[in-house]
Amino acid sequence: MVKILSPYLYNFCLRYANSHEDAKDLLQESLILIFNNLDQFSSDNEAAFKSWCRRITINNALSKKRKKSNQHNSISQSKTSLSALPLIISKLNVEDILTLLNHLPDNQRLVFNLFVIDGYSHREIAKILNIKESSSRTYLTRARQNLQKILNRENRLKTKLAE
Amino acid sequence: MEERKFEHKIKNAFKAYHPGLDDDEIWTNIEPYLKKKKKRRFFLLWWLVGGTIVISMGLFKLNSPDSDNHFQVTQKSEFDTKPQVQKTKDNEINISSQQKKINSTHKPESNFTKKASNSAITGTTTAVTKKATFTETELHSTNPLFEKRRIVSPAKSIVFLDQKQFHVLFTPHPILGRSFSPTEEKLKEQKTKLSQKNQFYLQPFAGMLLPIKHLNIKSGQQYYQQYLNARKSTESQLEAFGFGLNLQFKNKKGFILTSGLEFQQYNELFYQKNTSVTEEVITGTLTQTENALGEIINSTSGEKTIKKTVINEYKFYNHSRFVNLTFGAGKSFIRKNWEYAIQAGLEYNLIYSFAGTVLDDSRIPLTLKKHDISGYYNNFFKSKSGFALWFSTEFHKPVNRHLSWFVNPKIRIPLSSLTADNNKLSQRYYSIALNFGIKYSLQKVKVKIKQSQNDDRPIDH
Repeated sequence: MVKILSPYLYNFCLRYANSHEDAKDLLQESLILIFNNLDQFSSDNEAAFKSWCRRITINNALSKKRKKSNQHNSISQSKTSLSALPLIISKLNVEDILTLLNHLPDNQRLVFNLFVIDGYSHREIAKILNIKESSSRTYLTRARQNLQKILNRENRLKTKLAE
Repeated sequence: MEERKFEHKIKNAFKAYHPGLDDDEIWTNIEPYLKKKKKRRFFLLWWLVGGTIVISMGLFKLNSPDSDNHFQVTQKSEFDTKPQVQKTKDNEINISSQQKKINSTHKPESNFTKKASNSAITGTTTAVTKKATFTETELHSTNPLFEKRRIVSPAKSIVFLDQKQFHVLFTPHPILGRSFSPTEEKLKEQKTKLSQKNQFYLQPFAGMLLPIKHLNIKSGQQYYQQYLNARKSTESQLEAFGFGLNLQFKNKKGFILTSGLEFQQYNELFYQKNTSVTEEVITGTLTQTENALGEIINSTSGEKTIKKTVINEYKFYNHSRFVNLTFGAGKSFIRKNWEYAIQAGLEYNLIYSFAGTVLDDSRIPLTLKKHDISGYYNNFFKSKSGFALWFSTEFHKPVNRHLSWFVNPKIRIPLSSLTADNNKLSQRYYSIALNFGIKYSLQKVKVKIKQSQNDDRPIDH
C-alpha cells in the first residue's frame, strides 16, 4: 500500500510543503494518519480510497501550514532564485513549477494549488481554508496575475541577457 | 488562452511526475507508529456477549416448566394402630405401639420467570491527540554521534482514537542508525472533537432485576387484611431477569429517541406449611394376653382415641412474565472516550401472564394458569398490565466504529395494578435493573477529525 500511495500522495505533499524534506515529512505523517484511521473508511472503491487519502494529506498539510503561520506570524517562502527558470513554458518541469509557485504568497499559492491542480471548487476551498468564496476567487485571480508577471519579467530579463 | 495552457501544463507536469521515493525507508519510518489491532478488546466483547447469552439461556432453562422440585406436599400422619400386648406373668412382654409414617412427594408442573430492561445509547465519541515535546538539548545534542539536523519531523499532532499511543517520528541517523528520544514526561493531552451525523443503533441487551413487589388491599376493602397477610406470608420474591432489543435514534446534538421490545420474568416462591392434629376414636382390640409360647390366650375389645398429625407443605415457584413495548427519550453526554446518557420513557405491556399458585379467599392454594378453562385466572390477574414509567442511565464505551458495549441501570415504576378489577388486592412489580448489552450502529459513523491548533514542533537546525 505504501508503494501505491507514496508517489501519489507525495505529489500533493510537494506542492504544500516548501521543500522535498518537508514534503517527505508530510508524506510520512499523512501515511500514519491514514493507516491509523483506516477503519473509518468503508468503501471498496479504489478511487474513493485514493480520494480519501488525498483529502487527509491535504488537510494535514493545510493544518501544518496554519500552525506554522501562527507561529511565525509571517509568510515564509522559499526564495529560490528564479534565474534558473527556463524561458519557454513548455520546458517547465515539476521543480521549476514548484520554484515558481513558491514565489506566490501562501494564500494565493494554496488557492491556486487547490483549484487548478487538485480540482476543488471555490465553495470547497472556502470551506477548507475557512475563507469566503469571493476571497478564494480573488486569491486565484491574483495568483494567476502574479504568475504571469513573474514569467513575463523573467522572460524579459532572459531576452535582454541573451541579447 | 495562454493562461489555461499554462495551467494545463502545470497539471500534466504533476501528473507525470514520479518521485524516486524509497518505499522501504518510508515503511521502516512509519511502521513503529501504526496502531496495532486491538484483538484483546474484541475477545472481551465476545466474551461479554457470549456470557450474557449463556446466563440468560441458563436462567431460562432453570426456570422452565420442565424443571423439577418445584412443588412438595408432605403429609405426616402419626397414629397407633396396634393393640397393646401383655404377656403372662411368667414371660411378660410389653410391645409399644408402632408409628406409621406416610410421606409423599409430588412434583407438579411448574413455570418460570424472567426480567428485562431497556437501555439507551449515545453516539459521539472523543479522541485525544497526544503531543510530544522535545527539549532543546535533545535537539541540539552536542554528542557528535547524533545528527543535529532533524530529518523527519515528529508527527506530533496525529489524532488517535484510543488514547493508547502517541507518535513521535524520528528517523534514525542515516549512517549511525541512532535516534533521539522524546521526553515522555512532557506529553500533553488535547481533546479532539469527533462530530457525528444522525445515527440509528440496534441494542440487544440482557440483565438482572432487583424486584420489589407491592401487594396491597384495594381501597375500600380493608376487611381483607387477614387475607393480605396470608398472601404476604406465603409469597416471597426471588430473582428476576430480562432481555430485549431496542432501536435507537440519536441526532447530532445527542438527543435520543428509543423504542424496543423487552421480555421480563419475575420469579417468586409460594410456600405454605399447614400442620393439623386431630383425634379420632376407633374400635378394636385393646389388650391381648399371650402365654409363654406366644399364644393369645385372652383379649379385650373396646373404643380407643388416636392422635393424627397431618403436615401439608406446599412449595411452588410462581412466574410473572411481561412482554413490554418501550418508548423513551433522552440526552447523551460525552466524557473523554466514553459516553453516558440519561433517558426516561413509558413502557406499555403487550402481554402479561402469571403461572403458579396463590391463596384464594379461603386460604387454600389455587393453581393458576392463563388459559386455564376453570376461569379462575381472570378473577386474579389482567391479561395486560398497562403502562409503566422508566428512568435509566447508560454508560457505554465504543469498541470500534460500529460497536459499543454498555451498562444500563434502570428503574421501572408501574402505573397500574396487575390484578383483575374484581380482585381484592392490588399487585405491582417495581424493579431496579442492571442491563448489559451491545450497541450496533446501523450506518458507519463518519468522523471529522479536527487537529490540534498548537504545535510544539521544534525548529529545524
